[in-house]
Amino acid sequence: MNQKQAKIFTFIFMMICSLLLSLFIYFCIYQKEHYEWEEWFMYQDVFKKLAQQNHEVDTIYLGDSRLKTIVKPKTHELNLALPNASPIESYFILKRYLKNQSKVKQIVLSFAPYHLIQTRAFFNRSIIYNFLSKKELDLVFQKSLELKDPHFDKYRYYKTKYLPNSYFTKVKTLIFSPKSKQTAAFKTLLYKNKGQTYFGKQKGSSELCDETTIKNMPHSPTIKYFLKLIIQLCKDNNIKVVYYTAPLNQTSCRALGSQFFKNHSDYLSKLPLNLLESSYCWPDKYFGDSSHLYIGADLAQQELRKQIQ
Amino acid sequence: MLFNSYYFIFVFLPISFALYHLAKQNKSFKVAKFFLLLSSWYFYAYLEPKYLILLIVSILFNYKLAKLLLKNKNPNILFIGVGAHLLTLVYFKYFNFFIDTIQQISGLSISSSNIVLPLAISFFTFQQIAYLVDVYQNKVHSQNLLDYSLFVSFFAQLIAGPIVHHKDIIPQFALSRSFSWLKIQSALIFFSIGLFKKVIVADTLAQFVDPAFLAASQSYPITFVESWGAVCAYSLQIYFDFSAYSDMAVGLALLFQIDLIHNFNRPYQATNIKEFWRRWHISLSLFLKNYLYIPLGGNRISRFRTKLNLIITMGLGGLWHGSQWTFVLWGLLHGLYLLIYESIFRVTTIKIPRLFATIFTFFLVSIAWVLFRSPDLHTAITMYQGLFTLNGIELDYRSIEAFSLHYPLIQARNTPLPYFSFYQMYCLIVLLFVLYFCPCTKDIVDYIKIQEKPLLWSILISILFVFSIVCLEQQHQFIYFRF
Repeated sequence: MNQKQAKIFTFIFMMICSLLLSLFIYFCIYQKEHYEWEEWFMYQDVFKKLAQQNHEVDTIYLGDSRLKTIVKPKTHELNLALPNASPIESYFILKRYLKNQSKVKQIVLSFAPYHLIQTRAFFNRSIIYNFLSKKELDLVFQKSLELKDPHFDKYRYYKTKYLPNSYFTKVKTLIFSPKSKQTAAFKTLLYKNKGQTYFGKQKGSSELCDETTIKNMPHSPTIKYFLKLIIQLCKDNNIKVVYYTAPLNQTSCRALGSQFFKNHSDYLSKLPLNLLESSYCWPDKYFGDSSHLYIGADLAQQELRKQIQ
Repeated sequence: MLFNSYYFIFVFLPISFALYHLAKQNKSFKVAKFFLLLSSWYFYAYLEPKYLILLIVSILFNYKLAKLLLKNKNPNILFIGVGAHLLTLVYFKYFNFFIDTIQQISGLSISSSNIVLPLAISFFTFQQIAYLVDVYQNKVHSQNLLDYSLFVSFFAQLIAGPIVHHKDIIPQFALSRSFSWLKIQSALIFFSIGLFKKVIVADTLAQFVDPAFLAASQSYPITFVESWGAVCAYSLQIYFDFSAYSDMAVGLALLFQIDLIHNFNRPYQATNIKEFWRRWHISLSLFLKNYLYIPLGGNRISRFRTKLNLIITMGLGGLWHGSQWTFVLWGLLHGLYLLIYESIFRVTTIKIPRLFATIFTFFLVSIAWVLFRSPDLHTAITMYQGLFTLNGIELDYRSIEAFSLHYPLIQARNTPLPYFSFYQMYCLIVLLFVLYFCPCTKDIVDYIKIQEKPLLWSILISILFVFSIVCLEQQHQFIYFRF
């Protein structure tokens, strides 16, 4: 090749790289239905419920996957819990819901201690799933800046949202094992169970839950701020708020130690919340995976319903 | 900053490239070089901010001594210079190693300090010692601080080589050359192929290597199939990882119109161990030969001294890689291989078929890699027990299913190690064949250059690049970063 051909080579190389990378990023960000996993459909399901104008709902369940597993909503109830959701997502869900609805009488909140401490899920789910609007995201970042919360930074946001490695695992899975049939079946089941779903279906699990990896970390001030916002929002709309902590398996409880639960109780007791009585630790046999109930889900639902009625 | 990171590829590199070439076109070559030096220091500081001072002091110190040596060839100055560099290296790299060894031998309890190894110290120390020796031997006649600093700090080769020689690099920084599109084209091909080798091949192979060595370090009785699978995978991983780094370094240097030495020349095609060392980590082999083996007397004194020099050179070469006995033993084992080759195979008239000789050399090299990869001797011994069937030849039950093997000696067991499926074994064998038949990256680049098909090759190379970029799920460090 001569200089001219080498120049052509370089030019074409740059053009193709730019084009292919742009196309890939566009596909990842805006064509999620083609490659995303089950959790994304749960977020879409919540979007759908928020858009539906159901004026008959009086009880809303807000929280993370542990609550989503437990509650099979009855008439006039809505399970808007989401996997990996923290009070940040739940606040915006409630705010969007209350914009058009006014008959809600009670909110049941439930977050795993993990989601009051860790912010990874905010980036790995809310950001990747485009769950929050620009205005909502601005509020989160502004507040975290004010509260000097080191976990929320804009650089991490851009990195998560626009760098292709955040999406590649899922796209790779799509290429090597397409699973459109499973996805369709999952969507049908989710619709049939009104938003309730199981995350693990083992007959007992003695694996350690996520909290064991972060047991000595402090609570996120930003998450605490949004938890308080939920309480305030309920107060403004005359809604009763109760808080329920879903159980952990016995093995994880042992690994976490009593101090961890004491810290968690202290954290919650300082908030203006009605805390429901619940045992933090249940036998391993009730769990379908490290963090979620399976066989014990119905039992937990009964216990929860007894207290909120 | 890693070469295989988005920040490096999409932020650092385009900015340094643009600044350098714009300054070179519009202002002056000196300004351009100054920008390149600043970029290189930023690159280093990004990884280890506190050790940038050490790098700069080391450069200034060596430059000053070289200046004195240029005026007066006093051996004491050389002694001070080499001594100071070696002492720094010993302090940062080997201090804890010596303390631990003394503790093990004497049983005394001496507290070792928390010394963090500065990145690239082995590389820039060697380059500077070589420079000082050459100044003393009258091989350098003049010097320039900016060019010298760039020679040591140039980010393309700073962290993990190739160990460049001043006579190859400083003249390129001293003379301003016109911009060559051919070099840019070669740079893109080298970098893309290097990135592909690292991200797609080396990092994938690591998934099979790491669990096996971890298991061995925890005294898990690793079996014949598991250990050979892991060792073969590691032989491939280290080649693809290190040669990927070298390809990327050559490509990056070409972006700045600088030619670097090619560090690899199809090493696993070597038919004997001596040839292997002529093809593997060429810049280190050259350095050890010119600045250690020959000054020790080489093969000029006596047969015994030749052998001793060889063993010392290889042992120290091993120690250069890291402050562990496993590295020393790895070097000594290679020294032993070379001795045996020189004493027996070189003088024999028996002709060994080429393919067999290549496989046998690969076998010897792979056996030695166990020491190189093991974090301690205990792990290496466990791996060797597996390699020589002392732990049985049981297979993972999934492997048995995949292979449909029912050979009575092979029993199924439930193992925590990742198993090699038929497909993965097939890939491993294909990779070995690729290494045997495939040309090295330099040959591929030369081939593309003589082809008059810019469109076709640019499409193929850009697809390779994009695929690697997209697959950069996790940015794994290069193996040679820790040396």
